[in-house]
Amino acid sequence: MNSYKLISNSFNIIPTYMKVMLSFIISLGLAFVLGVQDLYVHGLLIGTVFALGAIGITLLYAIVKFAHVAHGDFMTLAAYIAFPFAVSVVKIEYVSYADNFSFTGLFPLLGLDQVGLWIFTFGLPILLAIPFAMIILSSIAILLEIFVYRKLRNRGSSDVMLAMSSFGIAILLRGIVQTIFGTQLRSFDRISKPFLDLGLGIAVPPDLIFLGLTAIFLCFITHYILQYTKIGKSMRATSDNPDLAMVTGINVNKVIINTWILAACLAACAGILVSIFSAQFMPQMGWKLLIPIFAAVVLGGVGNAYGAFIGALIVGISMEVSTEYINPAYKLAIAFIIMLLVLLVKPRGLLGGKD
Amino acid sequence: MDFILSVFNYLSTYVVIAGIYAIFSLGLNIHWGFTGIFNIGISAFFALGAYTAAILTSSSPSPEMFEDFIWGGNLPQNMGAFNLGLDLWYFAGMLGAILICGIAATIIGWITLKLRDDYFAISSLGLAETVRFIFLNEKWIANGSRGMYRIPKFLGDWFPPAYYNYFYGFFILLLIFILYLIVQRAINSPWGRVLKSIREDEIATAAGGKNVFLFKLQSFVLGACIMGIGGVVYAHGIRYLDPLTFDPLMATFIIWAMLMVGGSGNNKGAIIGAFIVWAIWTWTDFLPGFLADPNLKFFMIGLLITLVIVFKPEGIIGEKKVKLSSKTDLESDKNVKATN
Amino acid sequence: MKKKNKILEVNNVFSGYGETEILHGVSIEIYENEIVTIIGPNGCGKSTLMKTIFGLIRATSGNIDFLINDELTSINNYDTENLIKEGLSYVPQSDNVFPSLSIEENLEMGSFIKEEGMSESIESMYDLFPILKEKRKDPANQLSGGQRQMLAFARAMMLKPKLIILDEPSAGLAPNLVSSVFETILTIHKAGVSVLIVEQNAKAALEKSNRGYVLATGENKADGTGKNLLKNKEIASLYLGRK
Repeated sequence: MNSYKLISNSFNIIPTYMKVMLSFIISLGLAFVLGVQDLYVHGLLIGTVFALGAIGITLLYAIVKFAHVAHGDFMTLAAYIAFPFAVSVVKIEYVSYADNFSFTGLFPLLGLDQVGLWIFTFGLPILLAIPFAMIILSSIAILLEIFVYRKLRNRGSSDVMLAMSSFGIAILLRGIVQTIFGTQLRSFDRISKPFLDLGLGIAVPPDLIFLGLTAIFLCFITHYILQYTKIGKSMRATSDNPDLAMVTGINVNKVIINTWILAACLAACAGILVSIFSAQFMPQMGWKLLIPIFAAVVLGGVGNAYGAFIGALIVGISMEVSTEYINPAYKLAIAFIIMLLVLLVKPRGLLGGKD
Repeated sequence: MDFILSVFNYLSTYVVIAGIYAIFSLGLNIHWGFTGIFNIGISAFFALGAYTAAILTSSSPSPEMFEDFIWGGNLPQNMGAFNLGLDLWYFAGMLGAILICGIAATIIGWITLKLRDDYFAISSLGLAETVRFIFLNEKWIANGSRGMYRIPKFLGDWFPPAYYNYFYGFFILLLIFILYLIVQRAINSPWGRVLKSIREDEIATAAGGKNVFLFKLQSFVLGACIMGIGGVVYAHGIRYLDPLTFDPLMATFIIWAMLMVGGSGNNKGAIIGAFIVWAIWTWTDFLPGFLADPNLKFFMIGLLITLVIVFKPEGIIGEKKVKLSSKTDLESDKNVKATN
Repeated sequence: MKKKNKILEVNNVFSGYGETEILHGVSIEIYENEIVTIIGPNGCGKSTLMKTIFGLIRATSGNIDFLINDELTSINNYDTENLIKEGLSYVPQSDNVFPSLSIEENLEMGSFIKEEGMSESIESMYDLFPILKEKRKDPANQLSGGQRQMLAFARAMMLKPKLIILDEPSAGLAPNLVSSVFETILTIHKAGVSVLIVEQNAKAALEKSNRGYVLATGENKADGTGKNLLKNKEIASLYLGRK
């Protein structure tokens, strides 16, 4: 890609970039003043991982036009797919199809390093799980698209019926995870590593930095796809006007499948990254993430991937900073209140969405 | 003889629980089946109804059983003083629950019913979780995760414990019948017809001069009150409540499955759906080994909902179809909310 | 004079939406290198005819033949992608550009099916419409109405079609822009493509057309050269009205 084109294209978006950067810098300053800069940075980094889920959902909204309620359980599924990769012994207990049993995790089998890569608590194996989970989730998404969603769309079902079917699928996926792995808390093998002191009163777990950088990298790849590849442009065209896209010769069904693949891959990464960070995960994990993610989507403007990114950062920061002032148990309520406020006051969100 | 007795016992418990769910299903039918409101926060009204009744009717807490806990009612003692017999405190508690659910639904509906369908759904989800959260964390309301127990039995003194469920099951069926009549009346009235036209085409209804929001709010409150009644019946039937009772699976998803299977938009369907799905749910307990896994039930409910939507969206009974006027616009089919 | 080839033949076509039949046996012909306009009152089936030709609606009976590889081939069951490949192109009446995409990206979408020759096509579109080149990076929603029409036509031209179908190209445009739209149509015609126009604004369209057809209630009512139709008093009073 001609680098001149890259720069000149970026030039077109600079004004919004400036506004966004400025807002974040100012709010960071405010955080220092209030003494919550540590929580702020934590929230910012967690927000980048929310962004992966939010971008997927907002793109699905833009192109397939419904609320993909099963997205949370996609993320849960990814975390559980990674599970055999990331523990040395997979213990299966309290399940009904077998007595307690265990088998060796994948990374000792593959002779890979133990955990505790460099400053991080985890090891290489879990990173291997990511492409694997992406492939599985994409396949599931494609199957669902062909056998459920496309059928319903062709029948003329409303977006509510589509959301409901995805609701059924969410429960179905969770059922599978719970049946196979049981409902107890799980965690990946890890070695405790000290927080990194970044100075200025900010200390973060090194894992979080890895998460943030990875998430930002993935968002950047998504941006590249959307702006500079034929597939991405056809996605944007279809989200603008699917009828015109068809008349132009764009294969709308193919675009829809590509969108599912992209959303599924992002969800896979999000699920695995979140479970790395949260130390423990359980089958309800994804469902709980739905609320901050939808809040991010709505805040940024439904259908706008860049809005979803910014919205996710804001939601992440708000949730973390709020713990300074309210009972941490109510973090989710904060995300929920944000979403409600946006819907009531400025439904098109910050960057203006499709609806 | 013993075997027959145990079968009957089993059946009576089945009727009690399926009946409770049938009441929830009727309430949801008003929201979704008749007005097209996509409410996935059913558990909020279930919880409010149940807890209200429990708080109003529980006797004063003893320090060992409860933490700091507001003590609301002890209605059996207090109303018993009036020697009214027939345990009318049960209905007083129910009235309280209806009131609370009605107020809550009015407030919640006022704020959220303006939202588009799927946003409303997510909000309702958030709300249900928030309600559950509050009951969990604010222990002074209802004892948090320790739960409320020894909730009084309705007409408990009249029946020996072994046979109580026969009575309660019968009572519930009676209640369902009364509620069914009330709801049928409401739906076939001019008010109900407006609701149905809102479900089919909100914009056209608004253009016809009806205050869509107000109608939706009324329907939302009515449905919520019925769900609250379901909660009351549950509280006095199972006699133990804690925030875990209201987890999404047992207090929201399964009710949706029941309504979809039975046929949304149809009150008989709502009731029958409840009995069918609950039969499937408990019958799987008798399957060998692994197939009786409660987690598998999760999977099964999800599968059921999805299959019904894809293959038979109108449910087993379905709704009496009203033929829509044929339109010439290619897009017209997509504009009809395909609820059935 | 060299005999022109027929590139499109619509023969006794019946079509409609669901149970409602709109076209009751309509026939038209298009030859290479000509501009043909179809006029008629609202609801006469003009748009339906265009959508049927382009495969968006299936004809219930009748034939539609298009010139493919020098032979008139039946395209009744062709899907849109194939029609575009064979040289048919369609510009809808409204919402005919992608608002959030840049001008250049809109053009790229026009060449979606075939990437070879895309940059040359884009350059020749810029030659035809210099103002598009000027604003090539701007998002299409920043264009004026007339410029948007230009972009819509240019997009449809990207694959060098044999026939381009325009659905009410002057709809919603201010009167002073109407003539410039028809100038634009002449421009693309000169580039060597046949144009089939459906128009409410009969006078302006017929003035620039070689031939025209008059449709009413889903049936052919008249046809002739553009000039003859304009001169015909009866047609003028029945169908041209004030326009």
